[in-house]
Amino acid sequence: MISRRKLAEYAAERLTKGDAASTVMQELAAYLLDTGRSNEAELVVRSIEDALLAKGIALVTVTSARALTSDAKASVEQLVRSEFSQVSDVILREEIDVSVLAGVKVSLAGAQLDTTAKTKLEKLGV
Amino acid sequence: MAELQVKELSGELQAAIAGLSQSEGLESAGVVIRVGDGVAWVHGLSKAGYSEVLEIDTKSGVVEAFALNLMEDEIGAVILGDDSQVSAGDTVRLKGVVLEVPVGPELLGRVVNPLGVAIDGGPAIKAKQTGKVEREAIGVLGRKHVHEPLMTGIMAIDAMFPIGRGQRELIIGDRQTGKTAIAIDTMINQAKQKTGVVNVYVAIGQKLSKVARLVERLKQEGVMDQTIVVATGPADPASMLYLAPYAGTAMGEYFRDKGEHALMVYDDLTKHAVAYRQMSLLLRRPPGREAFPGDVFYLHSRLLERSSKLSDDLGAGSLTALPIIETQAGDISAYIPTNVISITDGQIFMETDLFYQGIRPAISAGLSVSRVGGDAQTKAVKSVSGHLKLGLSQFRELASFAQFGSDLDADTKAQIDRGQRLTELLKQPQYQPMSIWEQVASIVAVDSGSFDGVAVAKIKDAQAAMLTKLQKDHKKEMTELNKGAEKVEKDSAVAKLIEKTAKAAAKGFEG
Ligand SMILES: Nc1ncnc2c1ncn2[C@@H]1O[C@H](COP(=O)(O)OP(=O)(O)OP(=O)(O)O)[C@@H](O)[C@H]1O
Ligand SMILES: [Mg+2]
Repeated sequence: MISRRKLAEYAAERLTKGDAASTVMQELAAYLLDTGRSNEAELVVRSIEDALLAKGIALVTVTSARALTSDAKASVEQLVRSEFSQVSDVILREEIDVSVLAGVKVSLAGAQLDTTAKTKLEKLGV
Repeated sequence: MAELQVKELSGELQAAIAGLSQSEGLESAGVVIRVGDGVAWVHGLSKAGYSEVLEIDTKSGVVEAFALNLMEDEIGAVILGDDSQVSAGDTVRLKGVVLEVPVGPELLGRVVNPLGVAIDGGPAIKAKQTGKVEREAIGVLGRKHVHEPLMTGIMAIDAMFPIGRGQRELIIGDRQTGKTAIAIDTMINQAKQKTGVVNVYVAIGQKLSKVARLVERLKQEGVMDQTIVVATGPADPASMLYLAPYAGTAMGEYFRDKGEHALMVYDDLTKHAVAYRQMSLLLRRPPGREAFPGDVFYLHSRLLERSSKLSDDLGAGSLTALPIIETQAGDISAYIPTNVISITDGQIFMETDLFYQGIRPAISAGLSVSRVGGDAQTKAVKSVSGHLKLGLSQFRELASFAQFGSDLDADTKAQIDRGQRLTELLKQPQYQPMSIWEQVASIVAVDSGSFDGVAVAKIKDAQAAMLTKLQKDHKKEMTELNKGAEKVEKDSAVAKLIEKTAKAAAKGFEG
């Protein structure tokens, strides 16, 4: 059985070579399905993100209630760069979720920064 | 990193999984996990066997492949069609057959690719049968020892290194030493002597213009009607070069299994091994000596084992093989040459030096050997040529001493004289295979000393004059001699007749 890490490294390698994500994911899906491991999909994706990060590519998801201004995006990018010195590319993906109320949630491989009002309120037990 | 097209991996992956789950029959099928260089890597299909045909469902229809590299969890399959149509995620099924090619008399006179598809511009070939490209060799019980001659028409070979039907005789030498010429003349001889032997010439990675010229020549010589040419050019994918000799053998086996006789020419197995190496790198087999994968020995042994003389129970047919190997600077100890030498029943070794001295065919008397052909040698030829090989090797040794100008005793001088005449006699132009009576008469003429007075440079002329005379004045005796069934004793009537004619013909060529 091919380990998740091996699969992820292979996929990351292909992606950094410029292969379309849809193709790579299609292959991966085929493989996972055939080996009865489709339930590992999320874990594999995380491993791919790890592998990409090791190659200097940070896939960052930013969740906020409203579309971010370009200033805000720049500061998120800045934050990621200061946390991970090896990062050469930051790829931002925005997610709009009104339930977070205010603030942002920045998540990437193995790290998360949550400044959303929702979480703060939850923590306060509200 | 501008080309990096990654946004949302998770969503993509889940969607892909959902899409694939809906497709049917995934249980019993494999899936292409990656593809490139004509090779598809397939996951699943653990039941697939070596050389089994796989069907890949692509967006533009079914593309066939054959399984080659069977590993625990994936298969390397060589795509038989356009590999650009195949993409990862495509479903793969077992077709339930091993790779087969069309075989039968319909292929005679045709030039085909390794899949048996006509490439000579003629009509499509409608064969009634197919034969397995990979097939087990016939076991010992189904075989008989090699005992019938396969005359090459090349006097040096038929006299000194006779080849029998079912034998595997390697033709080996550096580039441009006349290797192909030997094989072609042997093919031509099958037509000239009306032996009925079918020729299958397999061109491996040869310039197609060269093959086309060859086919033209075979037509001119009237041999094409009993010949099949399987051609692959240097631009063909390695997988096609790899398949060519196995496919050609399947075509030859058809005749063998019908109780007939076929001759395989593999030109050449060096290029075949290189194609296999290239393919193996694509298939990621671990390389071995000289970067050839470890199973390259098996590559050629399983091919050449299919040549055989069948038992009477199996119809007594035969498949003879003349594999060709190109050496570098005469080095027969390189990996591929040693392998093939160990598999075959002997070798005709072509020497560059001889070739450039004008001794053509440039067959080495010392390094060539035929291990099983002796029993198969035509009786008449055998009875007069027993000592030729030894005489010729001794002569070449003596001749190299004689170069130093030392005083020679009369005996040595006589031996050198005879050797020179013999060497001259064994020279033979291309496309002129000699029949049995011509060979016997020529050897008797020199051996009896009838040509001792002929100038060395005029031996071929004297020989031609003698043969013309014999043909014209003694047709009946020569026709009888040509059957080859009888020994020619030293003072038999026919030997005397030849000597007399030879002496008469020698006049006018003295020097
Ligand atoms: N018996 C012969 N007499 C005169 N010329 C010959 C003879 N045999 C071969 N030749 C010539 O020698 C040349 C090389 O012959 P051939 O193509 O058979 O060699 P080869 O070893 O197969 O070469 P390659 O390595 O290119 O395949 C050709 O031009 C051919 O016509
Ligand atoms: Mg050649």
